[in-house]
Amino acid sequence: MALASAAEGASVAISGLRFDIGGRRILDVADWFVAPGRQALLLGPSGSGKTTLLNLLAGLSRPTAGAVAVGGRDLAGMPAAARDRFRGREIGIVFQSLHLVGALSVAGNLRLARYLARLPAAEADIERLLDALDLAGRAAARPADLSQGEAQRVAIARALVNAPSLLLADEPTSALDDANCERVVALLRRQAAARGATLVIATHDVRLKDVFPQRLDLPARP
Amino acid sequence: MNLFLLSLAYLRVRPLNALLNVLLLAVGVATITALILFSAQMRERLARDARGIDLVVGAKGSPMQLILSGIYHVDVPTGNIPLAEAEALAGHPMVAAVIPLALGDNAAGFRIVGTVPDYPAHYAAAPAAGRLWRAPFEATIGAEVARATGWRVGDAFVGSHGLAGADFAHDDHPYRVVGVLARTGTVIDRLVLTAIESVWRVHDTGRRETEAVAETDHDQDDAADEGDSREITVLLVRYRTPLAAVRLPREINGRGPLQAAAPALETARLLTLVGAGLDTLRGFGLLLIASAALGVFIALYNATQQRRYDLAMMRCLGASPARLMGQILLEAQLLAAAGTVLGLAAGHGVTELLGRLLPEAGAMGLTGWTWAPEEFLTVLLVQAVGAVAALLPAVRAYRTDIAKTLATR
Ligand SMILES: Nc1ncnc2c1ncn2[C@@H]1O[C@H](COP(=O)(O)OP(=O)(O)OP(=O)(O)O)[C@@H](O)[C@H]1O
Ligand SMILES: [Mg+2]
Repeated sequence: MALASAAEGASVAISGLRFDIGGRRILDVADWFVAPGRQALLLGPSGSGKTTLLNLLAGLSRPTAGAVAVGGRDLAGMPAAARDRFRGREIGIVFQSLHLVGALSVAGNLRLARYLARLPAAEADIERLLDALDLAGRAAARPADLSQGEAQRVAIARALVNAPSLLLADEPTSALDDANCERVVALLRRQAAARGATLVIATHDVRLKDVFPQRLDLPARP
Repeated sequence: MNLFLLSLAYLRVRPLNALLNVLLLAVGVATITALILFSAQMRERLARDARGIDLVVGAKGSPMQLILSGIYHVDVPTGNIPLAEAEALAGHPMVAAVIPLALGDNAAGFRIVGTVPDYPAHYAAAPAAGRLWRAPFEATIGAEVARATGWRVGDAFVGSHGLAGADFAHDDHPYRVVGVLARTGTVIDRLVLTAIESVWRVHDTGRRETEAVAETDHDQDDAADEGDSREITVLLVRYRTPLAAVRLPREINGRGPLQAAAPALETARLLTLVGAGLDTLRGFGLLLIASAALGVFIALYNATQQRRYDLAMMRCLGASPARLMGQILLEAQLLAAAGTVLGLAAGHGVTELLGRLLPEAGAMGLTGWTWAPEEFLTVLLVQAVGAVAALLPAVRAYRTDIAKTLATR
């Protein structure tokens, strides 16, 4: 079957996915696949379930019905500890609120990501990554001292530092003007492509509508 | 990066809060440590000085006073007893050995004890230099006396009347140091030992002059002036049979002018009296530790609230719930460890300082350069208290619902 073969090699595979909260259906996606290294957009108005879907893709919550597989592995079927470890190594997430750890420096945030995924420290990689994201001089800075744009790039760097196979970003452009919107999206796409990571961006920002080769439209929910 | 560095980073965010909790813990630990050191050393010292002495016999008065003056040489004696009475007791079939002591004077604040060579032998005190006294006005001095006064073999000194200080010098009867005893860690270290005859002779000729001073022990001397007026102050007794413990004290106390007191009984009573005071202080120390624990609990509880995004984010980055829990527990353990180390150091320091500054504590040989087994219990207690304080916050960290937390704000 065509469907099965598409699912097999996919980086992201969703089938029959439903998510209810308190009896209310929040999300309903029949089938959706993203091939490895591809870049896709989750587009929908506010309240359509984009963040909910990203959480399911990251294994942060469990679906009511259906399955989510990342890199061919069914997230719901994994033991909790294995899922945490898998997420740490294979999935990088850039949240809408960036959630940088304020007690640590910029470099410390990246080191923390490697440590928590039980990966060896990689100072040279961290330096290169900060360089690539225009953060070369900010390694020792505290998150509180960064500009909004810098903080967002640090969050992107942290999502990339473990070389994940899937990069998820939630509303990366909602607060940005057109010029910056383009720059951030270009940065995400360039960095994901350079590392061979699959990229999924969730947004209600229609400016991104035609930029991506693949798109999942989520309908508005009453 | 590791959990240790991460915990340190979080503690650095609120340095004053961390410092306050560490200091509270440290003061509590220091109080308890000092108490432990003090009571352990006091117990040790009381037991060591009284070891092998079953009974102290002296003049009527408070039995506690008799023990304190006769064994520990801290209180004034209850009075003197006739030598003849003491000799009669030495011949008692239940008595294995006796050591007579004659007190009354001091040299540079250290008590001069007229006695027999059995006395230093009882404490296994042998001369480190010179020899034991053989003739009257030869003196063999304890190690602490030698250290404090600087006297050496061949030096001369005069005794002063009374048991402390120099209120009336017996200039006409100088002593000569013939030996210095090796340090024993017992009461002997602080005594000047001489022949009983020395004490008798000083007071035979000194009597006329001292009447004006009217010291208690000399008044009693006068009362027994007729016939054989020779007196001693106390007799240390060792029993021949355990049965004597039941019969001998009753026999002595029941007849004649003598009084018998058992060191075991009186030191136990003393420890109970002191113990009540120590318990109060110990309770105070525990209260400090408890309030520090409460401080740690509140700080960590607030922290898990303030850091809920961090905690959720760390889960996203691959940390298992157990690891987040471990991080919170480690943070509490770091505070507890810092408080413990600081408290132990302060406790030992304060004890050492007391031993040096307070003459009474110095006499006891109080030192901070030692440890007591109970200190390990304190360390364990504080670590346990830290763990308990961190438990609820740690469980909260464990339970963080990532998706929900990150969805807010
Ligand atoms: N924990 C929750 N409890 C109850 N309702 C929830 C919860 N999480 C999400 N929802 C609801 O699910 C729906 C989808 O929410 P979600 O955050 O996924 O939307 P979204 O598309 O990301 O919207 P936005 O563009 O505003 O971020 C909303 O109606 C929201 O109220
Ligand atoms: Mg959203």
